[in-house]
This record gives sequence, structure tokens and C-alpha cells, in this order.
Amino acid sequence: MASGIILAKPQSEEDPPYHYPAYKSTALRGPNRAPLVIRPGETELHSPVFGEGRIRSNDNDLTAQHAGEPIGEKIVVSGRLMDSKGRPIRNQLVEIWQANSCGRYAHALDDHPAPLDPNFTGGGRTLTDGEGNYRFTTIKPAAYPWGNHPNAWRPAHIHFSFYGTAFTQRLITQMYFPGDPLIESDPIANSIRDKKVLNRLVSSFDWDLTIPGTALGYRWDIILGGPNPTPEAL
Amino acid sequence: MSTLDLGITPSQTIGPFFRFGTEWIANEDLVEEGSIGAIILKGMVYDGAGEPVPDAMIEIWQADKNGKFPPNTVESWMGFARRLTDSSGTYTVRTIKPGQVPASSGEMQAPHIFMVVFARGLLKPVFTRVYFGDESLSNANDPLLTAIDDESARSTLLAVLEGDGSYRFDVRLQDSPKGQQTQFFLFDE
Repeated sequence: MASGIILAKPQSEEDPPYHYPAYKSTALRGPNRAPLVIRPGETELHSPVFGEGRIRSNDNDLTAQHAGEPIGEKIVVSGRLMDSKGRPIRNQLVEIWQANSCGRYAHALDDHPAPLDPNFTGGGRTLTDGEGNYRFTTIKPAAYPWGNHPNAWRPAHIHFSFYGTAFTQRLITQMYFPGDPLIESDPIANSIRDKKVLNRLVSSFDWDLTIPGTALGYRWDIILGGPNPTPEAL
Repeated sequence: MSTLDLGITPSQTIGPFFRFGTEWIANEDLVEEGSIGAIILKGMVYDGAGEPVPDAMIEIWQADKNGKFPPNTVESWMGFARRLTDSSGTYTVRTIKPGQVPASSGEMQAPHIFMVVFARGLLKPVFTRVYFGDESLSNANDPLLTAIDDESARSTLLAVLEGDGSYRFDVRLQDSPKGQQTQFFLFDE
């Protein structure tokens, strides 16, 4: 280890572990051999750039992707993508996917007997603006049952995907809604053992984002970890 | 990290039902068929029972042939590809061998591709590096490969040149009848 590329450092305690027995799918999929903590090289310190040409105007409005309007409670979800120093991550891709207002995904293998909505697919994407802000218009997803344990229900959630300025900042996570009583019994949410850390995944109801007569607003800011770029690199 | 740092948003699993939200960019290759130096990188993802994982999302990210990243590349160079494994747990992507890029120490590294894998059952992704099994000279001087003492772990990082000219890189999430778990990495902040 003359080069010092491998570091004797523990993993972050804030992210969930690879193995969490209450979430049964981790048993055969979570690695058992510990990852090596290494100093990132040039590849890991760069990140892809997704140009505006890939994003269509209705990609961030999931209620406007079909001929008719979807059934459900229309909402706005907006916030800011930042690094751990609070600096905005600009012009970067944000993607979401979610179940519909009945708790059904537009996925061939979702066998939950709730109706599909022909006017709702549930996938969206956008680029953050010059201040790191993103904004989606969608409908509020419903909770749904799953087979993890008897009477298991996932709290309502929206899946989010983020990139930073370094590929090591890559993050996929789930946003929850405030006051949802299902969060405290959900093994996936509770794989994050520190409640303060879990609360970072819970959005806030926001009057400023609420559109009178049309849509309730939820605010959710995201902080990406990983190596911080030098100020000169921004 | 200093106490002034903001609390980092934690990871959650990608879940099983992400195809309709992520496939829009999951069919692009890094280079067109017939491009100079084009290679096929393919493989399978296996779980701890040695069964294929048909619901994984793989992303690769790499330098161009000169070891450069956007914006210091030709405009068409994306350097990135996303794949959703198929029902047999397989992924395939057309790319090129990247040029060499330095480690944080400044030492030159062997050509490698960064890979991240998400799946149901992974509460956070696994990160690894794809090195090329036929680059024995540069591999023998790579600062990371030479720092991994366990040869069987090191060999999980090598894509194998197959008879048809493609490179095979399987991802094994755990030790299984399919072989030793792939060596995964976390990165110093």
C-alpha cells in the first residue's frame, strides 16, 4: 500500500447497511465482503453532463404526458440540489419515478390489483437550474402492499435519482411525505437507523409552492456527499 | 468532515419497478457500431445463490481514448451508459478502451471503467472498476491493483477477453457458485 490509495476508514454510519434482515431482499444481494475505501482517481472525480437537448418540455410535468389528466391529487415537488457545503449543483440531471394515485406502478411485473391510469406513466426528469433548483408537477402516489412480511405496506414515496459533479456522489433514494404513519414500520425507510438522518428523506408541506386551486406544494432539498470540488472548479 | 457540513441525504433502494422511469437513456452506446477501437463489454449480475439478477441497473462512466472527460473531449463523447439487465441478468454495451488517467497521487493508472450497480435488495449501490485482462503490463503497475494483496479479489476486477473479441465482466454481489464476490469500493470524502 505504498501509494496510499487504500484507506483504513470505516463506512459512513448514515447510509443504510448492505444487510438489513427486516428488508428480506438484502439477504442474497447485499455484499458480504467489505468494500475497500479508496482515494478517488480522475474518473471518479468527474461526472457526466446531460445536455438540455435530451429533456423535453413536459418531462418534468407527469400530469401532462398523455392526452388526458391523471386521476389523483396534483402536487408540486421542488427543492435544491447541493453539495455538503451548501453549494448548488447546477444543470444536472434529476429523475423521478413513482406509483400512481392508486399505488400501482406502470411496470409489467407489478401485480398489485389496483388500477393503472392510462393518463399516468409516472416517470419524469429535469435539469437543475443555475441555483441547483428542480421542480416537478405530478400526482401524489399512494401507499401499496408488498410481500416482505405479513401486512407490509410501503409508505407513499417518489423515487429520485441524482448526479453530482463527481461520479462518487451518485445517489438514488426515495422521498417520503410528512406525517405518513407508515414510515415508522417500513423496513426500507428504517434501514436508516438514525431518525434524524431518515427525516432528511421526508419532504415538507410548503405554502409557497402550493398553487391556489390547483396543487399542493412539497419542498425537498438534497445534499450529496462525496468528494467536494475545489471552489475553483465550480 | 467539518461540523459546518450539511447532513447528507441518505440512500434508498432503487426497488424493483424502475424501468419506466430510467429506460429513456438506457439504450445508448458510448460509440457507434464500426467506430475505430469499438469494443463490446458484457456480463451478468449474480446474487448470493448464483442466480442472475434480472432487475439491476448498471451505469458505466469512463474517459475517452485520450484519458479526457467532457468538456475536454469531442462534443459527441458522453462517456456514460446506463443498462437495465434483461430477464437473463445480462447487460451489453459498446464502448472503447479508455485512455489512462492519473490517480490522486498523480501516478498513472491502468485503463479502467467506473461501474455502479443498483438493484432491489441493495439499500445503497455498489461501486467497482472494470480493468482489462489483456492489459497485463499497465495492470501490473496500477496503483490500486497493486495495492490489493488478495489475488482472487484483484482478479474480480478484470474483464476477460473472450473468443469473439468482447470483454466479459460479471458482477457477483456475494460469493456464490458463480465465483467470489466482486471487489467493491467506497470513496474517501
